[in-house]
Amino acid sequence: MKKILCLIMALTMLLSMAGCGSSQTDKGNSIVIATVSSTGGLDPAGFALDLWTEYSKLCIDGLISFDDQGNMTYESAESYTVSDDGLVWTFNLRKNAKWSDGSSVTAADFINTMMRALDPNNGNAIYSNMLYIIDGAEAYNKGTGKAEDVKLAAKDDFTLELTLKAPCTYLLKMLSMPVFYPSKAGYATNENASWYKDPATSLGNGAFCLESYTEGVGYTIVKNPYYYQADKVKLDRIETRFVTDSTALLSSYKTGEVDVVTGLPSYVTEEYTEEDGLYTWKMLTSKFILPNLSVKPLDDVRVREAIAIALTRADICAAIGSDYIPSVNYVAEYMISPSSSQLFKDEVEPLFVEDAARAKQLLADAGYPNGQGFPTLTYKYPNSEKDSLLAQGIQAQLKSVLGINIELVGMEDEVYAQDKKDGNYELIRHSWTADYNDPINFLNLYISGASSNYNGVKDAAFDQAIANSDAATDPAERTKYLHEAQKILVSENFYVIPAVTQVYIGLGNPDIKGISYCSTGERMYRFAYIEG
Amino acid sequence: MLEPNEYFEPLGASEKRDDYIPIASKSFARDVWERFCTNKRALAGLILLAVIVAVAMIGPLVSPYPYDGMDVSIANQGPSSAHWLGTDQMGRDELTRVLYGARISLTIGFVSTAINLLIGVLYGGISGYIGGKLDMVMMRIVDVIFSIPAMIYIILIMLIFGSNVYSVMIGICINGWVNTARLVRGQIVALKEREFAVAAFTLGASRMKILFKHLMINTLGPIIVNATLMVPQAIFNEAFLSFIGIGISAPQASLGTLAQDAKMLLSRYPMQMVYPVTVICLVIFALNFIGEGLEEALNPKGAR
Repeated sequence: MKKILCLIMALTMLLSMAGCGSSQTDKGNSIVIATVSSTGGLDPAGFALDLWTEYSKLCIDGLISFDDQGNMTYESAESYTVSDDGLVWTFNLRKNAKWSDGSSVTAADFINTMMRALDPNNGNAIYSNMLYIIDGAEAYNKGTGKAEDVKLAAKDDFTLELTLKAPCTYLLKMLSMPVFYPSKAGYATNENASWYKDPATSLGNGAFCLESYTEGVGYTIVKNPYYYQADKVKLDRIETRFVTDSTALLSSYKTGEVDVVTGLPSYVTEEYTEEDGLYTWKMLTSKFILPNLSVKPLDDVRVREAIAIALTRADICAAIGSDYIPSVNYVAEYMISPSSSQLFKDEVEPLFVEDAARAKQLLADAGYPNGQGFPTLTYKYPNSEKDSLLAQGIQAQLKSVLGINIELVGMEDEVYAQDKKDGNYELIRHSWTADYNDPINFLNLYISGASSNYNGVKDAAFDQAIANSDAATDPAERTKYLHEAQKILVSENFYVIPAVTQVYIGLGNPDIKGISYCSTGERMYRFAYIEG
Repeated sequence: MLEPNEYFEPLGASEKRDDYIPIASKSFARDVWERFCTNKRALAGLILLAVIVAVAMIGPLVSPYPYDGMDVSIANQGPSSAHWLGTDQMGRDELTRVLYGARISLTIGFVSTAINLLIGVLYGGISGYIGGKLDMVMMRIVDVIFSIPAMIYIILIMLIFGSNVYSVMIGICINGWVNTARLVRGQIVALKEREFAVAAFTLGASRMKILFKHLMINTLGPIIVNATLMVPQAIFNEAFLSFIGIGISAPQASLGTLAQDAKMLLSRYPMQMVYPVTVICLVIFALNFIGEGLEEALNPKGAR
């Protein structure tokens, strides 16, 4: 009898505790973000992908940042100087910048991330090649040089000095790359692969810091009391949840369970308006067709041009959804020019104009009137719904306009990536998203011999244009060379065939105010607050 | 005193064939067919399947629309007189796509079942009949093949041969025959000691003849029932493969890829999901009814 009583008591207690749990849905001064993307980790010297981007915007301050209009803000650095030869960059750090345990943010913390990324034994550092601009970095990373020879120096606790191997006019733009963010020396080590999951070692120097992290489920961040701008931070807590199913994502927003959802299906734009919190993020991304230049008949520029101008991109996008936007630019459609406040693409004439009649003519000139005698080409793409629709749109249009047959080969992601790298394709879908907000990030992929040059572009004029842009000191002159390079790559040779760009659709509680935008145009909740 | 010839009276002409029972002798197949026809549900299933197969064969040929065209101006329309089931998000006629998809799904279902049966029956029959060490070796091979999940074979084959109808079929067949082989072997082992088999052997029938003429015939019941279940299984497998994105390649469609395409738009255009799924359901109902009917018809003693 006593036992039963005990059991009942225990059950009652459990139930009442459950009651307490649910009453906590009154979220107070906190917001909940749900997102589909949960790839990578929180280590800037590791798999710093979507997850890192979201996390770093709130928790880790870099040296210098830019907003979506291209305006510069000092973060952990308060000033910088460049030597006359453009090689030595000195950053003076803020003395009042603090980690979430109260310790100062020092030059050693920045060097910690960079050296960990360059460590030849660190196989996860996806952005280590971004550091190759630093003298000695490439040799060390490839195992041929020594760590001491990497020209990174902490002149004192608050002075960071980088010595480059060649002048780099866009270094400040590159500082948005994860590898240039600090990670607390002594806490964040390559030996402890899970340091970033443990709030005790995963410190933040930004507005927030990590409270808990659960692999595959989500993470919670709380206000960093030591942040030097702590008085401007209004939210106490932000919870991020990973939800893989977009339908579940949407319904959790509908019920008010979460305040912000990202990565939604495009039909959301038909159901919601801006008053309901609909927002779009213009991604700095470009999806394009990569022709294999060593495969007949794709070695003929007329054939490549015919394919490029035969497509009616607006129709394809209409079929895929409103988050796909037609683009005839290789450099991301929405990228801001490095030398003006205009979009890069708006500074020049369109790279080419869609023209079905001329496409037919070009194909006939190349020896395939109405597609006669044209071999069946394969088009490889990663298996996703959107990419499949893009592929089917391209296939249907090339068939109806040019009379050529394209065989579609949907592939598993890893196999697709491998085939793309190995040059094992005829036509393949390629996609590039800006690492930092500068056109060079797109253009230098196709320098002769570059490892990212998957279809073997080898064009002296193009290489020269890129070299000229690197050498140019005047921003306007540099931009001119970048345009020239893109023109050679696309309009003159169609080494790449631009197709579409993407916007990211999200819903956010309209009561959240004080949102700012980072250089890639993504929303930042650093100083956000809830109205009412 | 009667004369000897008077003990018996000759029969009249009309009485001469009185011992003849006027029922036509029936072959095994006819017997089965007649019993099958008395089962209304099974017959309905057969007719339904015949209709689906006929429509799937003829439909795409007479449809005025191609299965792979594109016209975004009419995307995602509801049913109309021009497009009976509406259009999908690329403006393709939904009815044509569903019929075309049914054709591919049914082809995969029937062809892979036929291959499975052929291999499984031969393998199981030989293993069971010859027995001994050979049986032991052959069955261990079966165990090994069976212990590796089908999905692994299928994905490997996809990687090598690419995503198309043939690799789906090979993938489904590669270990699909194993069950049939086990089933047949079990039956043959039990039957080969039976009197009729021994009698046939005593009378000098060749081993081949005994195996195929006497033993196999008697395993027909379970085999055919098994086969009717294998067809929907293959269709499901293909649908599942296409659903996870490693099935046949676009713009070709199977019932599975159609469901997959519709998934993205489920909350807005649910009907696009309903059509292919309905066809899958109808095919599977039909096949199950047929299977049930055949089971009863082939084995009347076991009938409930």
